[in-house]
Amino acid sequence: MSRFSRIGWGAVPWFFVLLASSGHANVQVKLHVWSATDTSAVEPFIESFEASYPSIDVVYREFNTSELFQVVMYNIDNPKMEADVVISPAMDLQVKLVNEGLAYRFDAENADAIPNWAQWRNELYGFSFEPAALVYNKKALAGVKAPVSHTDLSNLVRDNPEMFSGKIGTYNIRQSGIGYFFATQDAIQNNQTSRLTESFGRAGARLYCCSSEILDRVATGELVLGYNVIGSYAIAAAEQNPGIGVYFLRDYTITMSRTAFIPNTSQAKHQAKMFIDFLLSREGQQVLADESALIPINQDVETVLTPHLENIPVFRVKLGIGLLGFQDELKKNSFLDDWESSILWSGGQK
Amino acid sequence: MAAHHSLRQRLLVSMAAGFAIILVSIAIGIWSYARDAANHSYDRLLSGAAFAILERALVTPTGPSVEIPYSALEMIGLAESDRVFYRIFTADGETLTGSENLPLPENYQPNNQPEFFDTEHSGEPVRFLLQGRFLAGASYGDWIVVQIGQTRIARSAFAQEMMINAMALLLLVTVVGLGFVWFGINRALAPLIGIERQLRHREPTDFSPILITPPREVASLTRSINGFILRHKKSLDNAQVFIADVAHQTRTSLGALHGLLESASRQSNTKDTRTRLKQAEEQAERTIRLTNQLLSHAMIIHRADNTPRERKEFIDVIRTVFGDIVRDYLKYDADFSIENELEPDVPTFVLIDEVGIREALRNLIDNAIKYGREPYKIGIIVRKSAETCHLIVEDNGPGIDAENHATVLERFSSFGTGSGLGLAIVKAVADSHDARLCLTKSEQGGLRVELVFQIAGRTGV
Repeated sequence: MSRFSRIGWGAVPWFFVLLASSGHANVQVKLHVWSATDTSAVEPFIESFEASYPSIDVVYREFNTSELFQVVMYNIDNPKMEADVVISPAMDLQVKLVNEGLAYRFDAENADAIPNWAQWRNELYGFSFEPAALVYNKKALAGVKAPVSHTDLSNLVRDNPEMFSGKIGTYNIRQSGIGYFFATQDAIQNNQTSRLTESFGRAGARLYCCSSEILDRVATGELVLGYNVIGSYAIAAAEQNPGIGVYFLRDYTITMSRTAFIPNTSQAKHQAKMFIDFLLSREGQQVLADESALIPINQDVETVLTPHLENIPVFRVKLGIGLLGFQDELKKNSFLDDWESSILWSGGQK
Repeated sequence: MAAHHSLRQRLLVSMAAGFAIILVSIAIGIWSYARDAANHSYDRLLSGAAFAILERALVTPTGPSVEIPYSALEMIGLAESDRVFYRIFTADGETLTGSENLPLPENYQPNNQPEFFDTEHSGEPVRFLLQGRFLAGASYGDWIVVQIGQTRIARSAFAQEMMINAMALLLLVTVVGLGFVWFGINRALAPLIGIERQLRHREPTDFSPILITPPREVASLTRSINGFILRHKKSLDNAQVFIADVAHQTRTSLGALHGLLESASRQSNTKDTRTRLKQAEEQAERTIRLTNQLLSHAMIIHRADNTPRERKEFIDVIRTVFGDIVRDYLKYDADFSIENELEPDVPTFVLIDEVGIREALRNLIDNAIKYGREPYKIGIIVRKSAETCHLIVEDNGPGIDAENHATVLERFSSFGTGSGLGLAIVKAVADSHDARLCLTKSEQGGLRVELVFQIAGRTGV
C-alpha cells in the first residue's frame, strides 16, 4: 500500500547556489516525513519548504492512517523507523502515540496562531481544518431535496432504496483510522447514528479504505453518495470534476485537524522543528490555502471552505486524553462489532 | 568606642532577618500544603474516572469485561497537558484492557478502597490510583481492579501557582512590614534627634536643661545629660567664684603687705621700722600660706574629678602621710600622738587618694598650730567600726563653737587671722572620698575633726 515518493525538485540547484555563495560545505540533511496524507495534497507545500530551506531534503512517505499508527507504535526502537515528522488526520491515533511518550516536546514558533483545540502538550500540532463532508453525484441526485440533518439523511436513504442500493460509499472503519475516528465522533455527537448506519447497511453500502477511492467512484457515477469523506479532498475533487457535489449536513459537522509531531527517535529534530514551524507559519498556511488541497487552520487565511461552512454548527474535536476512550481495545472491538453487524445487515460488502 | 553603629540599620537588619526566617518557614508549610491540595483536587478526577469505569464492569458469558465510558477519560483529560495510563485487570493479574506494563506497588491486594501512589513511568513522574470492585455473576465471583495513572504536570502547575501567589502576598506583607518597621524606628529615634538638635543649636552660655518630654527609654539619658549640664554649670560657677575669691584674697593680702612695707619705709625710727618689717614678714608668710592653700584646694577639687582613688591599707597611708608632714613641724613645741585602734593583723582597706589625705592632714595640723598655743598637743587616732574607718585629729586649741561648725567648712570663712581655706580643703577631701566629716569639741577643749570612710571590700570596689 505504501509507496515511496522522493521529492527533490528545486533542492539541487539551490544547493549549488548556496555552496557558491557561502563558501563552506553545506551538508544536505534528509528529513523523513511519514504521513497519512495524499502525496498530491502536500507536494506544493513540500516544494515551498524546500525552496525556503535548500539544505533540507524532504523524503516523503505516504501511509494509510492505521498503518502509520502501527508502524510508529510498535517499531519505535527499530532503526528503520526513521520518521522525523509524523502526520495523520486521525487525531485519536496521534493522541495515543503522544500519550505513549513517543513525541518530542518543543515550542512551535507559530503555536499562537493555532487554536487551542488543535494542539496538545507542545508535542502535537494541528495545521489543517478538515470537516467531514457528504459527496454526491450531481447528476444522479438531481432534483432530490437536500437533507438537513443526519436523521433526514437516514430517512432519505431508507425511503429511496432504488436510488441508493449499492451506491453509497463510506470508510471501512476497521481498516481506516480516520474512518473509525469519524464514526466514533458521530456516535458521541449523535445518539441516532446507529439508525444511519443501519440504513446504510440496508442499502448495501460499499466500504473503502480511502477518501480518494470514494471520490473516484462518485465522479464516475458508480456511487451516488459518499459519507464522511475528508472535506478538503472532497472540495479539491469537486473543483476538478464539476460532476461531484460537496454538502455539509446542517445539524452538525465533525471537524478535525491534521496533526504533526516529531518522534523522540528522530535524528533530525532541528530540521523537523523547522518543518513544523513552517507548516504553522503564515507563509506555510498560505501555501496550503493557495496551492494544496488542504485547508489551513489559521483563521486569518482565506480558504475555499469559507462559503461552504456558513451557518453550520461545526463540532471541533479537541485533542486530548478524551480521544483515548474509543481507542480502548475492548471498547474498540465492541464498537467495530456493533458497526459491522449494522452495516453488513443485508448484503453490504467490504 | 568601636566603629559607628547605626541603630536604625541594626533594627532593620534584625527585623529583616526575623521576617526572612518566618518567610522561609511559611514557604515550606505552603509548599507541602499546595502539593497536598493539588493532589486532593486531581485525585478526585482519578477517583471519579475509576468509579465510572468500575460501574461499567460486568460479567459476560466469556468472563469479566468492562466498557470504558467516554466520559471517564474526558474527565481525566480536564488536566489538559497530562498523559494518562490505565489498565483493568483481574485478581490473578490478567489484563482485560489497557497497558500491560504499568507498575504495581508490592503485595497489592485488590480491595474497594482507592490506593494512590507516585512512581516514575514512561520517563515522567506519574500518580497512580488503584481501585477494585468485587464482581459477581452466575458462575463468577472475583475482584476486578482499575489502575489509572496520570503525569504530574497539572498538579505541579497548580501547586506552583498556589505557591507563587502565596509567596507574592507574603513578600508584599514583608515589604509593608519592613516599611512599618522603618517608620517605627524613625519615630522611636525622633526624641534622640530632638536632643541632638537642641544641643547643637545651643549657645555656649546656655545651661538650661533640655526641654523635651522623652519616652521612658530615653528619659534616663535626658536626665543624665541634664544632670551633666547642671554639674558642668556648677563647676563653672565654682571656678568663677573661686577665681573671684582668689583674686580678692590675693589682692587684699598683697595690699596689706604693700601697706606694711610702705609704712616701714616711712618710719624714721629704727625700732618702728623693724616692728613694721616684722609685721610685713608675717603678712608675707600669711600670703604664701594663703597661696599654697588656694593651690592645694584647687588641686584637691581637680583630683576629686580626675584621679581615680586606689585601694590601700588605711593605716599604712596615714603613717606614710604623717611621716612626710611631721618634719615641717619640728620647729614647734608640739606633742604628736598616733593611736592605732585597728586590729593589728587584719588589714583594713579603703579607696583613698593619698595626696588628698596628706593635704587634709597638713591643714588640720596647721590649724591646730595656728590657733592653739604652746605646748601644742595634737592627737591622731585611727579607729574602725563595722563598715567604716575613722580618722580623728584633735588638738588643745580654742576650738570652734558648735553653731559655727557649718560655716567654717565654707571657703574664706575664717575667724581671726586665718585664710579660711584650711577646713574647706578638708571638706573637699572628705567629699572626694565620699567620707563623712564631723566637727566636735575635743576632751582637751580644742577642735576634734573626724573623717569617716567606707571600708573597701575584698574586691576593691
